[in-house]
Amino acid sequence: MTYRDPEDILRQALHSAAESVEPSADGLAQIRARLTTPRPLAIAWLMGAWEDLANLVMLRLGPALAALAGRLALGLAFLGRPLRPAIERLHPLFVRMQPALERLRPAADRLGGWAERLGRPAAQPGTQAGRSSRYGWLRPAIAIGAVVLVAVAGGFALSGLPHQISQVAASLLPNQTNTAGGGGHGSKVTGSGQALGPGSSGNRHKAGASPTPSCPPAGRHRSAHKPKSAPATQATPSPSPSPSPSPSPSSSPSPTPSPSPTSSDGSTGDSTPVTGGTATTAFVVIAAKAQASPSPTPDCTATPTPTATTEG
Amino acid sequence: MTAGEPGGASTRPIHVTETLVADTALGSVPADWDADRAVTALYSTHYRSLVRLAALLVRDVATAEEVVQDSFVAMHDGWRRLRDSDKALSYLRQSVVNRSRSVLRHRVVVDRNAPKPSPDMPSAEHGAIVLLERSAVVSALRTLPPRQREALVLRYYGDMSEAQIAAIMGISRGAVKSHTARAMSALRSVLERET
Repeated sequence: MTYRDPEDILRQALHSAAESVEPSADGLAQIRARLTTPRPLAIAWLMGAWEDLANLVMLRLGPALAALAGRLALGLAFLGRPLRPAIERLHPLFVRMQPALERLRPAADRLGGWAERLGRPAAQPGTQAGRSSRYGWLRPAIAIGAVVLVAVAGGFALSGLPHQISQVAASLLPNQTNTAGGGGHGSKVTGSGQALGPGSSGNRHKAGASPTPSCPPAGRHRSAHKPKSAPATQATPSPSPSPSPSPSPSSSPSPTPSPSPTSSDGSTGDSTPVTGGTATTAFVVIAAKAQASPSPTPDCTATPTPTATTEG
Repeated sequence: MTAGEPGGASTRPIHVTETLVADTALGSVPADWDADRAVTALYSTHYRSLVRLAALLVRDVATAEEVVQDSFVAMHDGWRRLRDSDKALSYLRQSVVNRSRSVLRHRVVVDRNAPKPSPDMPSAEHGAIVLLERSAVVSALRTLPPRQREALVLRYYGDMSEAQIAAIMGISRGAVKSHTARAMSALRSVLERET
């Protein structure tokens, strides 16, 4: 018995197995049948409907489109009238540039040829390359259209921007004036609160909302009774989300006095730097808007603490 | 007898390997031919060998024919995009291998979810598979992972070089080597029995 190479055995086995396979004779017919399979009914119907619709629209809108085109031409002519002097001024420049452009044309053609050769096989009759050269003008037209579209969209976006800015400013401005008028004390308090040091950050946050106009009236009602109230007791009323300070003083009179110091105490005013008010108020207004109403009471409660300490 | 052997072409039957490898010149189609003409030419020269290649991979003649016909249709559709018409045969081979792989993958999923047939009821593919797997070696091929089987079939049936196999399978030459070596070691016991 002779030794046979395993590779030969495998090769022979594969070939004998493959030879037993005999494909059907109508393979080419089947391939052609697949190639000429008509479109699915739905797609064919959609395409037909689209064609009909397009015909109908063009039939109906043809005169209207023609009139519109005439008006558009008139409008363009009207718009072009003021531009005519500029164009006439630029015309000699273009005329002067023409020889230079003509000189550059061979190089551009050569570049285009290279790009064409790199990108695809040479154009042949009936092939895609030949067809693409026929529709070659479409590419720059599409590019110009895209540029115009982007420019118009950008113009619209930029024209809308100042309006939006003014709207935001208008929405912010009334709050700022409010805070400037009534909440100046709030800002003062925040300043003093910052100076307090440890634990002041929480207070600062509370005080940040304090200048809202809701608190001062309450404080004014109660005037400055007891500024030495403990912060814990001040924190308790905070859960009441209502901006009106009325419920909180009823439960504990201590927190209320704080907003009032404006009129009653000179002490708070002495201790605080007022200059940072406008900058901080803007921030405060934004923060207050973001937090909405959940912490109006803490504002009132936060304020007493600094005043108490400054006094002490 | 393989294509590598010189002479005697007229005396022996036309071998599959010849159409796969030796006639690579026939895979090149004149560039100015349109898709229909190219499909017809490639069909007449390579259809049978491609079906056989696919049959070895998917172990089913009807599916193999379908795979090859799909490949021809795909080549026809992409004829304009086919930059180098000389590589039409390479394109077809690669397409056949990829589609065969897809068929096998799909078959695995179907087999996993299909209800188990009663033992006395042969499957529809049974006849074709039995026809293919009369040899113990070929039936042992069935146990190999798909990549290893592809590598072996292309190497020993298609008589392709490692570079060609790597190009068709879309892997590196080193991976081809390792797939082939592992497949051969897996088949070693069967092959030694045959020797």
